[in-house]
Amino acid sequence: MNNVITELLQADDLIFSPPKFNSRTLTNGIKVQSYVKHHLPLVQFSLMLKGGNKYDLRSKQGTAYLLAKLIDEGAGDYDNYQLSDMIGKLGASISVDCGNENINFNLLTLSENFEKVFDLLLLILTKPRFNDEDFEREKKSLLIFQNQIKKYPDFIASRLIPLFIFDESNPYSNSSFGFSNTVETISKSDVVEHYNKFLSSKNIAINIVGSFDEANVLSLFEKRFESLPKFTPIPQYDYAYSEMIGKQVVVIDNKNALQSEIRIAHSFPKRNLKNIFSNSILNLIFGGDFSSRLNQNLREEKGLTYGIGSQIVNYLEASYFNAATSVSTDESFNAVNEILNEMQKIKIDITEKEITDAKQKIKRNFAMSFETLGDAINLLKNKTYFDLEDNFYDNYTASLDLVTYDEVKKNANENLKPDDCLIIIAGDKEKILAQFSNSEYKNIVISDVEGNIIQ
Amino acid sequence: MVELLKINYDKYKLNNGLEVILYQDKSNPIVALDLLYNVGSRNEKRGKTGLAHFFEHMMFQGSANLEKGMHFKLLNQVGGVLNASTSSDYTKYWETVTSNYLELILFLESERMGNFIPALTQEKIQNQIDVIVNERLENYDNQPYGLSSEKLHAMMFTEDHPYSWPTIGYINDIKSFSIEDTKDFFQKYYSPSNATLLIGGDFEKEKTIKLIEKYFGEIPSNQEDLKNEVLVPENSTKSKLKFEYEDKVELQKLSLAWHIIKSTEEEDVILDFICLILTGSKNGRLTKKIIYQEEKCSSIDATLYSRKYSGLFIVSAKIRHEFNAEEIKNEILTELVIIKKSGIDEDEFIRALNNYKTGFLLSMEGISSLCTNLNRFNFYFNEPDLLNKFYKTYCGITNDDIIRVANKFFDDSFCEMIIHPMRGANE
Repeated sequence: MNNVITELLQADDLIFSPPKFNSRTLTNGIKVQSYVKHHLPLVQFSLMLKGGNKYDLRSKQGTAYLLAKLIDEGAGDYDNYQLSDMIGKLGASISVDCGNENINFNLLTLSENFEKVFDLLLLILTKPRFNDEDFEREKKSLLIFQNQIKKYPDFIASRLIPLFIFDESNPYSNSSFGFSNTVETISKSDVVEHYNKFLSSKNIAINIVGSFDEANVLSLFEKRFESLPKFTPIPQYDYAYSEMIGKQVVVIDNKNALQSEIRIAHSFPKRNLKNIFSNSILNLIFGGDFSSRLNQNLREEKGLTYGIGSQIVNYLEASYFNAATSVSTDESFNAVNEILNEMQKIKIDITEKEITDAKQKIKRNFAMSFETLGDAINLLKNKTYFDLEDNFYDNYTASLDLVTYDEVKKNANENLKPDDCLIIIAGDKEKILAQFSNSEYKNIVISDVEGNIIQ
Repeated sequence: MVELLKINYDKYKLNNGLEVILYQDKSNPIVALDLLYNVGSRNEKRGKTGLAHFFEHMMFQGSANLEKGMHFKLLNQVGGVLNASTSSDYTKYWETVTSNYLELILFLESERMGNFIPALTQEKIQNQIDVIVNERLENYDNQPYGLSSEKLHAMMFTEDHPYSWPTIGYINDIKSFSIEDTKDFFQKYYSPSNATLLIGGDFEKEKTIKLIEKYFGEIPSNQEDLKNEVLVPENSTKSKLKFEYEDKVELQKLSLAWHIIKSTEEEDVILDFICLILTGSKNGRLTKKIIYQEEKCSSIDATLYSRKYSGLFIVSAKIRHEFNAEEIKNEILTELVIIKKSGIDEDEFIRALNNYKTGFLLSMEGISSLCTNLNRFNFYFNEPDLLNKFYKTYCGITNDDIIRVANKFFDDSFCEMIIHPMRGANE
């Protein structure tokens, strides 16, 4: 039977060329990336405006998030219900979300209605009403949300990682929707100021995919974006990490919790075109999918968890490594040790076959990552976010092939840090501390759900 | 539009009873396999709840010719994606790969359908019991509001109704699964005659038919007719009940739920339409009033759960501290009374219809999700090509239809559940 499997795996490799993404720059400097695909009469459009949560003042974290929530609550002559009604009647959707770098305006519509819906999006972008009443409602809603999320241990554990990994001066330590005390201080004028600071053609990038006439759309963009302000300066930052020496355990109490949420994280070299492929291979082997070492050990061999995974989280200017799982409270200590042991092991022991298999998996999956309009727009947004070269996806598999065994081995050995890492555990404090007492873990602090050290 | 939603498919049966559906679409070099077994938690008995879901896990534990973990490993190796899911009505397994690996996924699915039992061990069973106990803790017991669906179903159905227990099962039942339970369940329900194999995407038809015969044709079948195995007891739904409990949550949650029994396909479509009118957008009647204008709740959702034996129509709201469940309940009921009396207005019609139009087109994207829909339609209606028909039904809905259906189902027999924040949990 092994022969059968070998034979089936040796199916001729698919010859796949990535679809053609076009890239243009409008007269006012806005970069437009497009991908025309006529299989369905739909268009997806995204406008990325610099001004995400990393630009929030530390004392007013949540400002950019509130801006994203508020900006589509009425624009021009229309209040929020009228806008929603017009968008709905066109069978379209417009949403606005906030990332760390950008505020993202997303649009989905039938092709025949693109221009009308695009004009509504433009109205939202350029003539938001910012009504007092809408602001108060959205702020109140965000404050209630702050209290709601405190009850979600998985969320709490993940949310605190950047806070501890990055230095206070590093804007990536900002929480995307802030904390109760920072949101309380945000006024409507803070939101409007944030908006005015970033709205300019220099800060905008556009991606569009689906069934549309490219020439018409470009001409429409030229006309409609003509009157945008041309330039606003963007703040510059220092992207420093907190110094992490030894194992720093942070416990967040969730009394009588049945499970502990565990995160093990540390800084990682900033993503660049040289290390990105090696990082993907390393993470895939370690904790990137079901067959990874972490999942095989903690789930399939020991039954300690429903699932475990790791990732190398990449921001534009900084990166960090993170392994995440949840286990029954009594197994917290064992699970932490198992994860750290796996990190130690992969630093010194990684095989050529693992690397070859991981490369193959990424390459073979590549053809499937262009299937839907949603897939395509995400690839374009990724290109915009990291300012990747136009031929990045054309060279993707060739770049992957160039990664050597030694590079991945060196990457694991030098950059995984089981001895100098952050260990966050959200669960029943008393039971967790009992497991960690008399152990090698000496640096243990208790934090509240917002990252304030209380013990 | 209607032409776009037309699905041309072939449907036939192998000699062992395996139903096969082929849907060709060569727009991307991708092929999807969707294998649906006609078994879900409805086929379980009290004391062994969660067995169908347990099987979903066990099917990845290896078979006579595949070691444990190999199914995932081989799929990962070729860059494929895969998973499985269990509902109260059915269990399904799916893989999506580039089209050159179709034969591999046919082999993998046939291998566990035909050779599962010889590789079964107590160790594997215990391992997956541990995993599922953790799954239950992670997704239900340790999550705010995580037990709400389980408790609502337990309130609304008598103990002998198969929808009264959760698909994941109760912890003590999960811990009790034995090697005999597993074998019996597999032999009864994982027969080719109790399954539908759907292949969609980029493949050569003749070659694929031969491959399906090669891999599945010789798997023995028990030929049991299990379609009507589950007999839902008479009077097994409960109405006009109120249940309250405390949980580690921030906001009180109110759920009002109506049984949707013996609804037609068209009535389900109309009820779906009503969900959209109530909470489908900022202009949804309840959303606009309760979330935006009165700011009494942080969220409100109306949902229709359609299933084989009966459905539920549920409206749930998370209520801000300064308001109470009784007033929110009255507001929901008032809105339903208005719909029962006058239906909906022209603007609401246009919004809902156009929204559906885009939604239908989107559901054509992505071969894996399309195949999931086709196999689900086939399971419930014995016809995969229903997008078209549903679209026509939506377009034909009238205000009289809405009034009729609202009056048929929204009576005063609803059940009410309130989840209160646990005292002291906020400190």
